Amino acid sequence: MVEAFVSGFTNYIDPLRFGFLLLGVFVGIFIGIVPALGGIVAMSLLLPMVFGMERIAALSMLVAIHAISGTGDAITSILMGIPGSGPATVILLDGFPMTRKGEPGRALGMMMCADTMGALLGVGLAFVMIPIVRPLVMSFGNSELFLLILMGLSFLAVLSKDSPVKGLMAGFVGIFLSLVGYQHSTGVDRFAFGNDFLLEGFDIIPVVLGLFAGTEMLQLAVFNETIVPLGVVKVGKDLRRQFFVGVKDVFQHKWLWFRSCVLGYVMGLVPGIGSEVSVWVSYGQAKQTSRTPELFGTGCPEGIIAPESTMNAKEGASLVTTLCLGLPSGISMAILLGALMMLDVIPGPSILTKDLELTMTLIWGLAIANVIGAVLCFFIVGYMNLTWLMTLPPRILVPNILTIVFIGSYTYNNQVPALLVTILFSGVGLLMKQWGYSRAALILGLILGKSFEGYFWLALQTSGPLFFLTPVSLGIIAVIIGLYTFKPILSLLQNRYGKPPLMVGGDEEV
Amino acid sequence: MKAQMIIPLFLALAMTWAIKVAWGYPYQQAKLSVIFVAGMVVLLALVQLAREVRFSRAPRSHQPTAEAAHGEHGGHEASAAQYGGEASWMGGFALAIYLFGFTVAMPIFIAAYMKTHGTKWAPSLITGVLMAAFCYGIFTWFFEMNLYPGVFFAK
Repeated sequence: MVEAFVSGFTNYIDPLRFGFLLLGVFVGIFIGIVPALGGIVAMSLLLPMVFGMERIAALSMLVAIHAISGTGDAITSILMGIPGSGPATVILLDGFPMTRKGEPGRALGMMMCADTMGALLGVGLAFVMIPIVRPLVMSFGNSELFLLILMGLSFLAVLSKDSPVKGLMAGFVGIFLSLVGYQHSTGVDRFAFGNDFLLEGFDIIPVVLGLFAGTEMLQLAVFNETIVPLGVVKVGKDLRRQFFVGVKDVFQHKWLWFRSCVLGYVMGLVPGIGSEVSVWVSYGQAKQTSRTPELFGTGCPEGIIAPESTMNAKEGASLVTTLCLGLPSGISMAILLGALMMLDVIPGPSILTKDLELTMTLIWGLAIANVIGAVLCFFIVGYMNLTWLMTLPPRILVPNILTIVFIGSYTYNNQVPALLVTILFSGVGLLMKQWGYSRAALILGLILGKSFEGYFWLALQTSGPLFFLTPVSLGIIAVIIGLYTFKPILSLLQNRYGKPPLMVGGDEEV
Repeated sequence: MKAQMIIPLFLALAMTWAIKVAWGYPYQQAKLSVIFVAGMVVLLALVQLAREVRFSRAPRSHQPTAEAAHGEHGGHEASAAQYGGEASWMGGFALAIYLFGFTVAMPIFIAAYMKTHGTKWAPSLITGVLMAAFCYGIFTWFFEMNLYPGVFFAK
């Protein structure tokens, strides 16, 4: 195993393999920056290329795209408030407010450092965890996956502005929206009223773009403000200094980083659900354990470090489950699975004995791609000075951003009515922001709604109405109950002993 | 009635209607999740309504107001008409895309928006054309994606 670990790294000394990895990084960062063109689109576009290529070079390229496109998404989330994908939304919550305070370099530095170190720890964890992956993953059945979705929603709900009730309500409304359209296994039209567009259901990207980017643009236009007040934003050398301040922030929160990485890794092992939920759970645990939870949502470093660390640590785990069990954790990994088949690599437990070197090579590829991505990001931020975009007056910024938002919304599924969805959810986002309802919870519900329904039904079918009476399920239920009762119990105890509350709910939206 | 009650009240009514509709679905698999999820929303909406009623009787330390939501905007309040005006620009842009397609609608929208918001004609037109060319280059030329041509120009 140690030999495979070492040769996994040395495989990248080969210029061809390294060259394709580099190509993947450039394509990933470029496509990630364009809204709606995430890693999935990039991997799909380059999938036909892998046929006939040397397998490590081909797979490394795809892995690099997958690793870096998330970084591109996070860059636009931080600088412009435009999340290119669902998980990038969580970075927006604190990254964009930090930009608005005039510290875009710091946010990007933190993001890149947490990303890269998360990926590196993911490599280490992969090395340690590979022998115990199989029994861990197999302990998650339908009921556990269903409850895991509820846990993800609960994490967001308890952190919501005003009350968990509003957060949970937003999450369930998100799930409800995901149920609109054809019920795939029965063909029943649910709330689509025969409309062709609604029958396909709500796509995530038009809704995300409306709820976040659309809402932000409406507010910028109405209040006639720049993203960052003029004179506050730093350029050139100051921006590079900010970048290193961000890097230092990560080291100052090393335990949070480590905890988030381990959490991400463990959740990333769960196929289908873990990778989507993990970033939100990570944000939640960071806020729950923070000494200053009231600062979350206002540009708090912990709000960036935790989800970013989780995001890349989980990628190592997702890769392990995809390769070792043939269970893709998401669409990107499903595309990678397709590429493996094209290259005559059969995923499954036997890969650990027959082709362990390939597994290690790809995990190293993930880490190396992130290191290169961090350097690239530093040059983009420090020398290309994208931050001038943030000082543009709204009369210039708003129509140009709206153009990109509308193209992103349309190109996701080539549907013109998606533009109306974006407009509608821009208004909905405004109302939700105004009255303290969590937009993030709604998005998470929408992302996980189909899985929620599928696992709910399968759990009922396979184990009956008492499907939750398994040890793992009961453990998850205990965590959910703990989430809702932790604060009230703590307050009760503190009131009894007359101490001021240690943890208070944040006022900002999550 | 307080404005904060509108959302939970609307959700409670809409989800009750959704449960009624779902009840008539022919398959358990299609109706069960809808009833469960909509039921949860109704329950939570009623809890929230009760909270709003209870809190409206007592002085409340934190009332979500427009100012609270837009604290970063220096305490300015915006009227619904202002938001409506900006939203109508978005609606107009969507309509222009539907009628004339992205390639025509993009420069027209950008130029018109900039001009009416105080930019001079020349920079408005140049920005519109440059942005449209950039988007066309990226999406149509580089990624070979077909941007919607509009009902007037559809083949």
